[in-house]
Amino acid sequence: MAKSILPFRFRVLHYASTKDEFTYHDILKDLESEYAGEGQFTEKKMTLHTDSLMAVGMIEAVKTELEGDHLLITYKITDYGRDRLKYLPAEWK
Amino acid sequence: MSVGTNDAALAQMLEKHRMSYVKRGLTAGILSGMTWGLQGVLLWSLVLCFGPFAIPYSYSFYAGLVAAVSVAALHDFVASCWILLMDAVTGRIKEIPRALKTKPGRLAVFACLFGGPLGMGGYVIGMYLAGVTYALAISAVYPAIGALLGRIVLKERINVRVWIGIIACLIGAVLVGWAPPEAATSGSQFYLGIAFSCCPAVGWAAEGVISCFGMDMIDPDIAIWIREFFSSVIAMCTTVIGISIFAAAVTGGVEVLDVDGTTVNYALHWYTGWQMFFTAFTDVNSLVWIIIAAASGGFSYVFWYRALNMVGTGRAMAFNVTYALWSVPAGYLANLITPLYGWENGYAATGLMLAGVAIITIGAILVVINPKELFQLRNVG
Repeated sequence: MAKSILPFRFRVLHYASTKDEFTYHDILKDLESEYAGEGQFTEKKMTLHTDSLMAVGMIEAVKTELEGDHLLITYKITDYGRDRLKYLPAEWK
Repeated sequence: MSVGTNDAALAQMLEKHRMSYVKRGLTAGILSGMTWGLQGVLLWSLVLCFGPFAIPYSYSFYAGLVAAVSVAALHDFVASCWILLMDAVTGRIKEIPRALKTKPGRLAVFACLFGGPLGMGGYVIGMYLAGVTYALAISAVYPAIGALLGRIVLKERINVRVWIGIIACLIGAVLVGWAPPEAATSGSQFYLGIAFSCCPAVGWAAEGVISCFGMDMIDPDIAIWIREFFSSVIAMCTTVIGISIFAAAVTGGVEVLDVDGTTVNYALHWYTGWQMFFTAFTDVNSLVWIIIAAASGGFSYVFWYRALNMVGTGRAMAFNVTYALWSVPAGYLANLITPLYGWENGYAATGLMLAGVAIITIGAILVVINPKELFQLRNVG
């Protein structure tokens, strides 16, 4: 049976738990099959979710570099973020 | 934080990026207070003066109480329509069922029990039974309780300066709404009113903390739709019907009103609140003003939930109670509108109100004075 689709922010946290490190480019590429075509699947919205997850301590910035004139942040999940995965639906654990 | 860059310019850019996020959170907090101040004035000075609410609200005690809880449920329902429209326009409708299938999403439903029936219901009933001053003074304590709960449950970082700011905001909110205490009732009903007034202090604080926990994993704009919609449905099934039954029982089913010298027998049934709710949709003035008030109230909740998520419960709640400050210009705005309908609103700011406004402003400044401390909201990891 196919997994149900997670709310986007929760999916970003789950995604973080499957990667050692990631940028928003990785999320946009790897989650396209699940959220493509949705108005929320944008760089702007993605950045809001990663900023929020970073502010509450679930992911942290491990590297920063310049991409054109923009800042590209590489993140990784924290122990606190990993702990919150216990609230995932059973099919996602 | 472990940023693996040796480039000071990049570190500075990261700080700027985080500061931009924090500033958006603080702006959302201020907007939540601003729009809630406007919503309150629109609801009490305009919506309740039209259609099915007009006579009960202006001339009755028990039917007026039914009108107040009914209009609160109506406000939440129409606000949920506005938020649904916003979620649709921004391509997030599908997030609602997804969120409801997860524990964090269902927490928003749980939170609405505290914020809606317990918070708003208790506030309206407390105001009726114990008087506006007592209800406002007791309920305005909610940011302090919320900050304390946020500290314990979410491990939020709140220093002494921010605590002083939060307390200044709630003292200012009490002063703006202060009037010589004059309870509408006495004896056991008055003390019942005091008890009901404690409900919002606990209810809104608990709502904020529970929602904040859920919004770590759910988009705040989705969580708030869930909160508003379920709050209106639950209020219709609990407080609206409960107060209607209470009013019908106390009055024996008929309240005799003196409407400008004319005696009116106002019938009260268990379904009177529902009747008011649905009749409001057939009265143009009621409908227009509830749509406007609910837009202000709905987006106030949107901003409040965003601020809770972005800057934490203590600060978001401190900003939310600045609605008392914004209710002053909103009161003067209502003074300009009501003559168009043939009556004077008669709102006038007193010296005490202005002192309260000054204290709120100082409190809010103390809360935001060092935005950098918001880069890491919690003591985790």
